[in-house]
Amino acid sequence: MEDNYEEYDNAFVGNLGDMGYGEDTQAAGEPASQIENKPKIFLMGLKRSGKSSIQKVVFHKMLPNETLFLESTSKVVKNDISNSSFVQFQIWDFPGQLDFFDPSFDYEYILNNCGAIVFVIDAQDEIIEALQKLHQTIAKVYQINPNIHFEVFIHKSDGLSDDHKIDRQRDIQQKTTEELADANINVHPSFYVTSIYDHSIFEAFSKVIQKLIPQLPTLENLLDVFISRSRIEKAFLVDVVSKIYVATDNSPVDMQTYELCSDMIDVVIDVSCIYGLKEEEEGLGYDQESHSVIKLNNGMVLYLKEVNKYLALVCLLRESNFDKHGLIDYNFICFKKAIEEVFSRKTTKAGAKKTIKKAN
Amino acid sequence: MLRSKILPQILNQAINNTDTKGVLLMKDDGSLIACSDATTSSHNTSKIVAAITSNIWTAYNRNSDLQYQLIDCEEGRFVITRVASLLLCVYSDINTEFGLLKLKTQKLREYLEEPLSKVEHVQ
Repeated sequence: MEDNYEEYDNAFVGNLGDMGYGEDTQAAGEPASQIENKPKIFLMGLKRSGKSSIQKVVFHKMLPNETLFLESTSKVVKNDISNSSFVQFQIWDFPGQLDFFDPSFDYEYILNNCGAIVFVIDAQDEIIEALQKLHQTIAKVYQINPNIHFEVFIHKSDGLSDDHKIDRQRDIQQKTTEELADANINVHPSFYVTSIYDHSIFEAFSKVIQKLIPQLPTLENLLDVFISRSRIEKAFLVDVVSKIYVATDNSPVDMQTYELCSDMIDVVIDVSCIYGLKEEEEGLGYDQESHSVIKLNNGMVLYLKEVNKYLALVCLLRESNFDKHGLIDYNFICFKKAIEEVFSRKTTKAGAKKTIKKAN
Repeated sequence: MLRSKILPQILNQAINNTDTKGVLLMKDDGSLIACSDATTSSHNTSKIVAAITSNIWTAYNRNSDLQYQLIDCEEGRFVITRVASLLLCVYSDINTEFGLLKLKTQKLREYLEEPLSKVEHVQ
């Protein structure tokens, strides 16, 4: 974990004023320069591979069907989601036809505070060209900033059968790894099969974001302790706006559970938007009092609690283990306190680093 | 239906001097139905007290014949008893004698027993 910290610090803190997370105290209107300094995630890939659709569906709640009518992106779209979400990263959507390595591009500056590059490959299309471009991109980026994580989304998987999906993934994975090994590049991209028509894209994005969160092991440990003490089956720490999960416990993630949990957030927010807000009042319908328990007819209980402005804890547990609601609430209070401590520690550490830098 | 605004006011009557710190009405699983605190301490304290005391109650109430439970802690004293299908908890600082605290709980219980037993048992 220490190593993780150091790596992250070297990669970002030097260039960054801000750690890239939302804090409760943060003012809504930030100066533009600060936003510019947020760590970035780049969406790249050939044209028509679905980059803008991913961005729209994950961060703008666009319906997947509506993305059919999206125009081709013609210039780099910088998407700042930092004011509404815990995920305080800037998503840059690169147009497919753009030659990123045009010498007139100041890519060294751009790449220096980039956290991850998401490369989108259309699984329903020919992959040779895409793989070439992927290889090219990795080779160039690696020279400039070897700390960047590479994530490959094998996208539009909804049109493929299950066997076909696995074949495609194996094919792409194998070719990429071989090519990288041949070129002596020590990068290990992660591969995800995604589609905007189900939750796979959210899950894949969650994994991408998690790699950029240095506190992840601590959060996971906290969740583990919490669920074992409260006899909970599965717990997610979810970003309310984007439904990306920032952390989960160590048991394997079941897609259906995650879908259920993210649907629950929708239900809670919709209900409190309709009944919770006063007339003329604007807002997300999500505040400190947000708390919900849904009993399912299969003997399971969904439990949601507010953690902070951006995050909610969503748990799934058996109804027979839900006999002591009060104790679970109490455990949650302890958990929440710990989470607050984790994030406040991070900001003070970053602050201390900055002062040292100034003194030098 | 319980009248959620009146109930804390009734509970508040038990806090007539400084020694009683709070009165809670909760379900067996520890979820609060109504509460009243002497100080304007955060609502969280009541939730924690409710969670822990109800858990102790259910742990000792194996034969369902527990009438009163008195807990003596380093910084306070608790009396818990059953009212209809709910639990009533009164707690105070260390200087209050148990007799007084128990009497107070008993009176409150007598007062609440009848109206609360009319309320449908919600599980």
